[in-house]
Amino acid sequence: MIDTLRPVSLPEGVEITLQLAGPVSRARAWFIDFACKMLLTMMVPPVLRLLGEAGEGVTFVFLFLAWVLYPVLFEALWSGATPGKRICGLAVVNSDGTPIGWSAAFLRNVMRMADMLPIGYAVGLASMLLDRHFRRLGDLAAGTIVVHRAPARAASKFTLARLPPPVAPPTALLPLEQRAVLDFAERRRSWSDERAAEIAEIAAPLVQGRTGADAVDRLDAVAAALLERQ
Amino acid sequence: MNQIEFEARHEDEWNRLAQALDPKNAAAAGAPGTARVPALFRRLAAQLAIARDRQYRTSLIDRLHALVVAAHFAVHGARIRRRGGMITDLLGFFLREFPAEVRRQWRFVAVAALAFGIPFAAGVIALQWYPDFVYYLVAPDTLSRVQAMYSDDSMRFGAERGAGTDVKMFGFYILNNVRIDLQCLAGGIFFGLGTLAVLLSNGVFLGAIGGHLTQAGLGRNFWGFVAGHSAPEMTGMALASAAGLMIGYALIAPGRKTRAAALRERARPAAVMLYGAALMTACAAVIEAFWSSRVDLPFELKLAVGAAVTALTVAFLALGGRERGP
Repeated sequence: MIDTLRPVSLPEGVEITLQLAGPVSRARAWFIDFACKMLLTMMVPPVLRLLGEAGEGVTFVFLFLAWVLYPVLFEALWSGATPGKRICGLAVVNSDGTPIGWSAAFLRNVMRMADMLPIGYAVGLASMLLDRHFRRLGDLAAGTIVVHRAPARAASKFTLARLPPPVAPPTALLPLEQRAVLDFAERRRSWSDERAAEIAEIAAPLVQGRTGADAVDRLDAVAAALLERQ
Repeated sequence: MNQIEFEARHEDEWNRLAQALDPKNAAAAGAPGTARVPALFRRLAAQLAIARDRQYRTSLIDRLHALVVAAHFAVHGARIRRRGGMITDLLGFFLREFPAEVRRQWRFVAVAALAFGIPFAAGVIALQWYPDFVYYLVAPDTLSRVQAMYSDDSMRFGAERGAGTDVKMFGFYILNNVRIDLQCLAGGIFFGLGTLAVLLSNGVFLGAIGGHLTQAGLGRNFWGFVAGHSAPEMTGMALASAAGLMIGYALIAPGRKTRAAALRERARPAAVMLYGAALMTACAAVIEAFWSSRVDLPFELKLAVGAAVTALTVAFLALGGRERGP
């Protein structure tokens, strides 16, 4: 299966899955960064020019910093994200999900020059499409990946008070089936009643020929029973 | 314990952890609550494993998983902060990791230094005996332009150069030198031949210029100008070239690995050398713009400062970053 998840086993004895970012979301972040750099390039030099010849020298150095060190500084000092990446919810991390340090930030951005060849990041794009983890050459060299930083959402509140009295499932349920029933009960309020009924009717062995609102109630009751199982 | 009891029992703990990990609180590293993060993190990992094993509802598992990912990131980030933060790390990178890496890769550095040094020295010496040979090496109009640049007249006028011009030239030098460094590095991808070509041609060109100006009696102007900054600048070029040669060598002789794997293995030390080279080059640009260009100083003083800078550079690369024995 083609998947954009990367499983990592932590020493704490649990496996996490990192959501890898693909070429499109990364290109979007790159465009935002590019716009930031262009803005700096256009806004700052006219101010520096007021300083006369010294300003010209400062301009050289400033442009160098803005175009070469911009990604390095942000990625090393700001939790692995340039402003563009932060806006797009992306971050650069080591391949095990830990924050990157200076050498990784330096290396992946030195290699950017190779990724940019011959035009418009063609090498980097080819490398990302060929690699299982969407890594461009710089990521391959530095051992980094770019991931979606998911906000830790609160689990939606869903209590027994809103469910009908529990009814034990008439047949034994596989673990994944149990979870599907629980998810149904949790999410059905986000659907129309008709759609909820339609889905509930698919679980024929559980609703036992009931249709419409009856089927939904029965599935809710089974979910209530699952919640109470020991 | 059923799922409802499980959630009710740990809800408080999860909220506390989420609050401690909130970036708004993370700034205050010593804030109350952060000390308990590692313990909460370990408990959370076990709770996530239980929730998965018992097939609790997906939204709960997703929430706990996101919390584990955030805590994992925070705990390892805290390890960096404990070492003194990113700024201390950066200093360590340049003051310890970099000179140690240069010594570890001394063979490549030596090859790069010789590829530049031999044609340079040969050019300077040969032109003392066969002055006309310079026309085989450098185009005549380039030669006359350089000669005018180092003539006594322009050296005298140079003193009136203002501070503003110094800063301007600093910006110019730094860009120019970094460009040469990058050429040296990038040339490595052609099996190291590009790097050698850049080194040899620069060595021949500068050797010819130096030899010609010495022979023409402008030696004091030329050597006085380059004495101060040549050590860090040449070192920077040699190190960037050594990084390029490492890349080339990985392609020529990958050993018992694929070329891609050999290249990947060389990439990290090569990047350390390159950024070290960039630092050296920046130092050279500072000296070149603000010290070397001064013509109101005696030749002997400039030579002495040049010798001191050279000694400092060599000492830094030879001694920096060694661990003290127990």
